[in-house]
Formats: sequence, C-alpha cells, structure tokens
Amino acid sequence: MFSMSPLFGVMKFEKEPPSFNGFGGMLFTYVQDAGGFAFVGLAIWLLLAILRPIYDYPTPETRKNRLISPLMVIPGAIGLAAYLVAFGILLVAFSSEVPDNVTDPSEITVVPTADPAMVAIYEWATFIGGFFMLIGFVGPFLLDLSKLRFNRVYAIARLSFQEAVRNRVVWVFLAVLLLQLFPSRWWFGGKAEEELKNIIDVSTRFNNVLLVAVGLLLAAFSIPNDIKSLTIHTIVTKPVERFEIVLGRFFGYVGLITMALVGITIVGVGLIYAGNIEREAKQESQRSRVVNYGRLEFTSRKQGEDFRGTDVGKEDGYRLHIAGGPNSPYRAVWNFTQVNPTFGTKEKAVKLEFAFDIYRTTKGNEGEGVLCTFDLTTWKWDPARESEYKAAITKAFGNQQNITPDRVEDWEKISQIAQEFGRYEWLGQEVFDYHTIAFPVPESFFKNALEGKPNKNESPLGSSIDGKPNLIRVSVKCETPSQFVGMAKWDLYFLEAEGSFIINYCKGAFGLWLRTLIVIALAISISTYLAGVVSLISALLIFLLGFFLDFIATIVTGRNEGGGPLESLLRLVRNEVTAKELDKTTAVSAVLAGDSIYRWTLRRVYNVIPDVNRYGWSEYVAQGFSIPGDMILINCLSAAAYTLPWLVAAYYLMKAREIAA
Amino acid sequence: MAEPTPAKTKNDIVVETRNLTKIYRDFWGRKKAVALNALDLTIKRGEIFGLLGPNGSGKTTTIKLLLGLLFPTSGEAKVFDRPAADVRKNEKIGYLPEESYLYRFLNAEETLDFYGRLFDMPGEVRRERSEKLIKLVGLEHAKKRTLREYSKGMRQRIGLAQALINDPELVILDEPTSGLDPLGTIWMKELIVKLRDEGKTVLMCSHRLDDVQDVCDRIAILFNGDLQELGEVNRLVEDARRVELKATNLQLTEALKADLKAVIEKHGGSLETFGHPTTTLEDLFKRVVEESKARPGRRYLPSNTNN
Ligand SMILES: Nc1ncnc2c1ncn2[C@@H]1O[C@H](COP(=O)(O)OP(=O)(O)O)[C@@H](O)[C@H]1O
Ligand SMILES: [Mg+2]
Repeated sequence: MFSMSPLFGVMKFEKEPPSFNGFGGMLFTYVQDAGGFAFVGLAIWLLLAILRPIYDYPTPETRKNRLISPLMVIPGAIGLAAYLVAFGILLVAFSSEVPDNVTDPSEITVVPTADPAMVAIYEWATFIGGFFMLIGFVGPFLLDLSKLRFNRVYAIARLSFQEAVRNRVVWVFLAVLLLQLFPSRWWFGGKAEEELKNIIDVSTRFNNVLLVAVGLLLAAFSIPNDIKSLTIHTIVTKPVERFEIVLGRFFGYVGLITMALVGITIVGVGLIYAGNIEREAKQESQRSRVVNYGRLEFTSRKQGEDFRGTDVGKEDGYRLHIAGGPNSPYRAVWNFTQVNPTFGTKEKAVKLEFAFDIYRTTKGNEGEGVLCTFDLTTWKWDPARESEYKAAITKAFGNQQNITPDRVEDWEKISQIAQEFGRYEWLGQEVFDYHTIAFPVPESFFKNALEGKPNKNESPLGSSIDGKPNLIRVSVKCETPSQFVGMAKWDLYFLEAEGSFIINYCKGAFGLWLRTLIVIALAISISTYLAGVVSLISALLIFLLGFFLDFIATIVTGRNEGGGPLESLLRLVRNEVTAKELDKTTAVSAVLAGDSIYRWTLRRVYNVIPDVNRYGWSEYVAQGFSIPGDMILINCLSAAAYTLPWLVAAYYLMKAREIAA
Repeated sequence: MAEPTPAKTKNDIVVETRNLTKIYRDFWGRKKAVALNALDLTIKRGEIFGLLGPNGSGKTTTIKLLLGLLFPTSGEAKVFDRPAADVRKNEKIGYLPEESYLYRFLNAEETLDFYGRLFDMPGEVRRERSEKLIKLVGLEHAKKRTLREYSKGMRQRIGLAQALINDPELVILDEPTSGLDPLGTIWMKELIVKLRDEGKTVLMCSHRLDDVQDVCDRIAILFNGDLQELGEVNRLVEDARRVELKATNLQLTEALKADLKAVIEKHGGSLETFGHPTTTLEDLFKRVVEESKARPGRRYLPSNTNN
C-alpha cells in the first residue's frame, strides 16, 4: 500500500479553515460587531417608537408607549456611554493608517499610534458598549421567547410544510433524484478514477442550487403571501405571538428541506454503493481520511538568508517552491504541535502522505519523477548525536536505505533507532506532479515524541504562535538539480485513521443544510418587512454576495489606501501625499473620526453578508478527506451567530408591523 | 328580544373605546383617509351589538382596531379590559373576517385542527370541538374536501366554525351574511341569537339593515368614520318626538289626509308622511345618511339617548 497512488488526494485551501483557536477573540469581536448592529437596531426602533407611538392606558389619566420598555432604554444608555468613551479615545489617540495586505475588513480598524493602554480601553469600551446594546436589543426578544408555545409554532410549521407539499414543490426534488439515477459519465465523460469525485462535485453543486432556490422561494413569499391574501388576519387574531409566525415558517421550510436533503443523500449514497461507479474511482475516492496537518515554513541553511519559498508564478503563489540539488540549502519544513496519542501504541506504522507540485526548469526524462528526501525529527532529537545516529544506521543496515514494515526484522531495527534518537529518514523518494504518495513512519518515532511532552514554549523545535510546543518536524529537501518542488501547508499530513465514507458524505450534506438554513432565515426575516419579490431579490443578492466575500473584503480595503473618503478629500484639498502622516490638528482629528465612522459602517455592511463558503465541504468528500468535527461545530456556531441577529430583527419588524394596513 | 342587562360592574364591559381614531397614511406618513374619528363605544356582556353604516364608513376599521390588526392613530381600544395590542385577549375572542380568509389547500377538519392548535388546545379537545362545529355549520358532507372546492356560502360557514373553535366569550363578525343565500342568512341570524342566548357577546357589522334590525340589541350607525347614532334598536327606531298611528281598513284619500292634518296641527304638530308603512330602520338609515351628507361631521351626542 505504500506505493504511489495516482490520485488527487490533496486539499486546497485559500485560507485557514475555521477552528476553535482564538475562540475567545472571536467571541469578543462578535460582541463588538453584533453590538454595533444592536445599536443601529435599537436607535431606529426607539426613533420610530417615538414618532409612531402605540399607547397603553393603564389608567385613563396615564399613558405608556408600549413599544418602549426600560429594558431597552437603560442598557441602551449605558451602551451609548461606553460608545462615547470609545469615540472620545478615537478622537484623541488614534490615527487612521490602514496596514498593508489587509484582506479581512475586520482588520480595518484604526491603527493605534498612541498608548497601548488607550487601545485596550478603546477595545473594551466598544466591547462593553456592544454588550449593553445587545442586552437592550435582544433582551425584550429573549423575554418574549417565554411566551412561545410549541403547539402554535408546530401548527404553523406544519401548515407551511403542507402548503409546499400540496403545491407540488416536492416534484422538483423528485425530478432531481431522477437525474441522479443516470451515471455521471453520461454527462461528463472524464477519467474513470475521477468519476466519483465528479459525481460528488456535480451533485453537490446541483443540490445546493436546488435547495437554496427552493428554500429561498418558499421563505421569501410565505409571509408576504399570507399578508396579501389576508390569511394572516385569522392567525394574528388568535393568541399567536407574531414571532411564532416567523419561527413556524422557518421550521416548516427547514423541515421540508431537511427531508428533501435526507432523501437526496440516501439516494446519492445508494447509487454510489449500488455499483454504478467505476471500480477505480470507488477504491480511490470512497474514503474518509482523518489527517493531521502541520504548519509549513520555508528555511534556508545558508547563513543569514531569509528564505520564504520561491514563487515560480504558478497558481497565484498558492504553492511556494524550493529549488532542488544535492547541495541545495532550501527546505520545506512542517511543524506538528499535535500527535494523535494512539500513535505509538496501536499501529506498526503511520502513513505520511503528500502530494507536491513540480516545476521543471529543464525537461527531465519522460515519466521520471523528482527525488525528495524526508527528514523527520522529534523535539528530543539532539543534533550533537548526528554521528552516533549515522553509526547506528550503518551498523544495522550497512548503507542507509528505506525500510518498509514487510521486512519484519529490519523494521524492528529501524523502529528501535527511531525511538532512541527521535529521528527517521526517508530517502530518494520519487515524486510526481500532484500524485499522492505515502511512506511508513514507525510508531516508535511517535512514542519518542509523546513521552514527557515539553511545556509551553519549551520545545527545541519552537512553538506555534499561541505557545504550543512543536513535537515533530518534517523537513523536505529536493535532490534533483534544476527542478523546483512546490508545496502548500495542506500538501503533507500524517494519516491518522480511515473514517467512514458514508458518514463523511452525510457531513458534507450537513454543510449544505446549514447553508440552506441561513438562506431561509435570511429570506423570512427580510420578508417580514418587504414584499415577496423584493424579499426574494434582496435575500438572493445578499446570499450571492457571500460567495464573493473575500473579494469584497479586498475591494473594501483597497479603497482605503488614502484613508476613508473624508481623509482622501482632505488630502486632496491640501495636496498632500498619502504616505505622509497628517498633522494632528482639530480639523484632522474630526476628519479621522468621520472616517472611522465610515469604516465602522462598512464593517456593518460587511457583517450583513453571510460567509457561505464556510459551508461548502464537498471538496473534502470528493477528495476523500474526513470533515473535521471541530470545524463542523464551529461552523454551526457561526451559522447560529449569523442567523440570530436576523431573527431578532424579524421579531421587531413583525411586532411593529400593522398587519392590516 | 330580551332586554340586555344594564352594566353594573367593570366586568360587564367587554369592549370599550375612548376617542378611538384611525387615519390611514402612506409610507411617507401622508394622510390617505380618516377612517374613524374619535369613537366612544361600550359593549356590554351578553348583548348583540351592531355596527351599521354604508360601505367605507369605518366598520371594518373599528373591528380591526379592536383586534390589534391596526394600531390606533390616537385614542384607545380595550377588549376584556386589555389593550387591543395585547394578544392574550384573543384567547376569548372569535373573529370572522369580512371574507373568510382561510387556507384553501386544507380541508374543513384540517382547518379547524389548525386553528385549534393556535389556541394551544390538546388534541382530544380539538377533535371533539371540530366535529361538533362541523355539524353545527352543516358541512359534514364536505369535511374532507379542500376549501378550494368550497362555494362562497360554504366558506362563510367554515369561517364561522373557525371563529367558534375556542368557545369564545366575544364573537366578532364582519358582514356575517354577505355571500349567503336567503336561507343561509336566516340560519346565520338564528345562530347569532343562539350565541347570545348562550351568554356570549356578539359584535357584528353590516350594511344590511334587515339583518341588524332582526338580531341586534343595540346598534351604532357610522358614516364617514363618525358615529351618528347609538342606542337600543327599539328605542332608536321609535322616535320620541314622532307619533306613529296605525289603522286598518282605511283608504288613502286626500280628504282623510286633510282631516288628519287639521287634527295634528290643532295639537301643535305637523304631518310628516302619509302612506303605507315601510321598514322603519330603513327610514332611519336613509335619514341619517341624508342628514350627514347635508351637514358633515358628528351628529351623535351622548345626550341624544338615555341608555
Ligand atoms: N388599508 C387602507 N388604506 C387606506 N385607506 C383605507 C384602508 N382600509 C380602509 N380604508 C378607507 O377607510 C375607510 C373605512 O373603511 P372600512 O373600515 O373598510 O369601511 P367599511 O367596513 O365600513 O365598509 C374607507 O374610506 C376606506 O377607503
Ligand atoms: Mg367592511
């Protein structure tokens, strides 16, 4: 099995998949961001409540605006005070430089030129302000949740479901199922071994469009149609909380979509197992690799050279290259802070898998690969024992060679050496362009790494940014002269286990489900205020913008080279160059403050758009990689974090709506 | 018709409005129509109260304000001593809209089950009540058919059943007889009286005078959003300053008219009409409308009647 497998088993990520690292920071930013929305929402609500009051008369002489409660006003006032503090600091202590290479607008904040203490106060003030704004805005909503009754929400959910079914929406799904019955090679042709990958790719895309379109159509028109056909009059004159209508519709359509997705998934898995697929494709793609990734860095052994990988101008620099040759000083180094604790106990060997890109400066021999050497060390490896280690190898095998577990005795010996020294080498591996290759690593090597783990920041191999000690290092060198080998972080990994393909397929479907759920919540929330067609278009637009979120981020940042619009204007008037810091006069401060308000607004707009790419996991399934559980969990949280503010907005819009007007 | 018991305690007042005003506005807040102007109304427990008025006089608007479907521009509306915007009052209200706005893809049983759930009623109670109501409104033969296939009259019937699903204390009916044939109309009127006899309060509105005269204990007449008349039907129809004289076996001759005129004038009155009797409420209604057209604005003042 440790041979070359002609496959594409490699993941490509443009950015880090989300993880729980820095979860606290994410929560902090979320409160700041959501708090900003709560502030806007609360301000609009209170303004409208004052302009168009609805009075209750507890006694004929006293009246009370039922749209305003102390629960909103008091936290709102505290939040506003905190915001004023933040704004004050902004005026006196910040300039508005935008750092280079910002791709994430959440980083477009003002950059401190002042005291770090001021920055801390600013951050905390916006956090506290956001927190209280959230209490003021979400508090009444949470209190009203206690009034919800399962029976009523269920009734409306069931009604929505029945409506869709009886209006024959289900036929759409059935038509799609029928399409999937035909082998995909009828549609696409392609290599036999890529068949499964193609099927998964195409059917996911197709199901995605289908589910999103159906969810969007149903959700965008539901409440507007109810209002237009006046059927809502018989509902709201029952003891129904307005928000129950929103929730009922939401759950009804989510239920429908869930059933459709379950059906589609069962049929999909069924077809894959029913033998409609080419055997090669089954063997290669029908897997679910659980893998352990390291962090990649490029190094040079030349004294004083700062090497960060060579960009040969392929793939927009996604993969960076190292030049080859026996004396090449360049290495690609992966550091692993985590080792699966079952390594070094259960298995005889752990697979190290990789797939690299090859860039040839001279035409090599046809069908011949490029040679690479892999040098694995644990944190216990002592470079001073180099000659001792070499001697042990020579003693055991004569000349150094690659050992596989089928040579039982030799494997025993190499395992002992690996455990004693914390080092293992794999030499002269022939590497082909984008083909996944694996070689065995003795379990004893991991035993060495796991025994008596070093403390935070105390590993000789260095640490990750958050101080986790590196336990294992894999150093790759290219031996063939005038060839370049290109790699990205995700191109090399330890294969921890083989998971179930079906479960992985279902996990992929769950990603689609999350995405559809977001769309439904979005469309329903918008439709509580706007007419059906308008809601449909708005929700669709917001959703589609989500696919270009990264692109939007760069536009938003790109525009900010000369600061915000006000600052650009000021520079224009004064004819100043952008690079020069503006002098701090009162006028300039005011302009900078204006621009930070502009940026604050931009950031709100950016937050409105869902990060839909987060939920596209079909690549994992298609490439045969297990979808990591913590990534699923964090994306569930992010879906909730995105939909909740929309639902709260829907709650207010519905409550304020004059149904019969 | 039984005399409604006079209000003694606060508990006996089911609906109360004070100065209730509704101005429809467009998105920009510009005035479109004054649908209701400073309405003061009290409806007591156990009576059938009729809102009467020509199309566009503000009847439906009043009902929607009471139900919280609309928010008042000023003034207040209270039902069961709760503000109209409070949904909890709906527990004891049954509402039949002007047209029965129901889901057409449901059948009669499913419809009643659905609305029963909205009252958080347990399944057994829902089944029991919907069976009883389907019988009451005479739709047993069609209970499995979707409302899409129903005629206007059948929809009105299932709409009424829907309004009664929670055994309400206050039944609000907007044009309950519209779309019903004469037999259906009689059936509906009998049912309304029966509801009152069961102790429920009924608020209905109509532009059909015979309906109102037949069943209502008290009425309010609206025109252009202004309250024009308010009181017990019997007392409104008889006019204190008028004297009605009925006789049989008389020929309508000029001589008779001259003689009667002389007698009436001798006693300080004047002869208004002379002829065969007509529906008295219709007279009143016409007169109110004509007077309102001549002199726009409010005509009704609380001192006009002594109820
Ligand atoms: N949604 C609305 N927008 C604007 N004007 C309305 C609306 N509904 C009713 N009106 C106006 O308010 C007045 C009263 O209407 P309504 O209460 O429906 O009368 P009725 O039920 O007595 O026939 C009419 O002039 C009508 O045109
Ligand atoms: Mg009407």
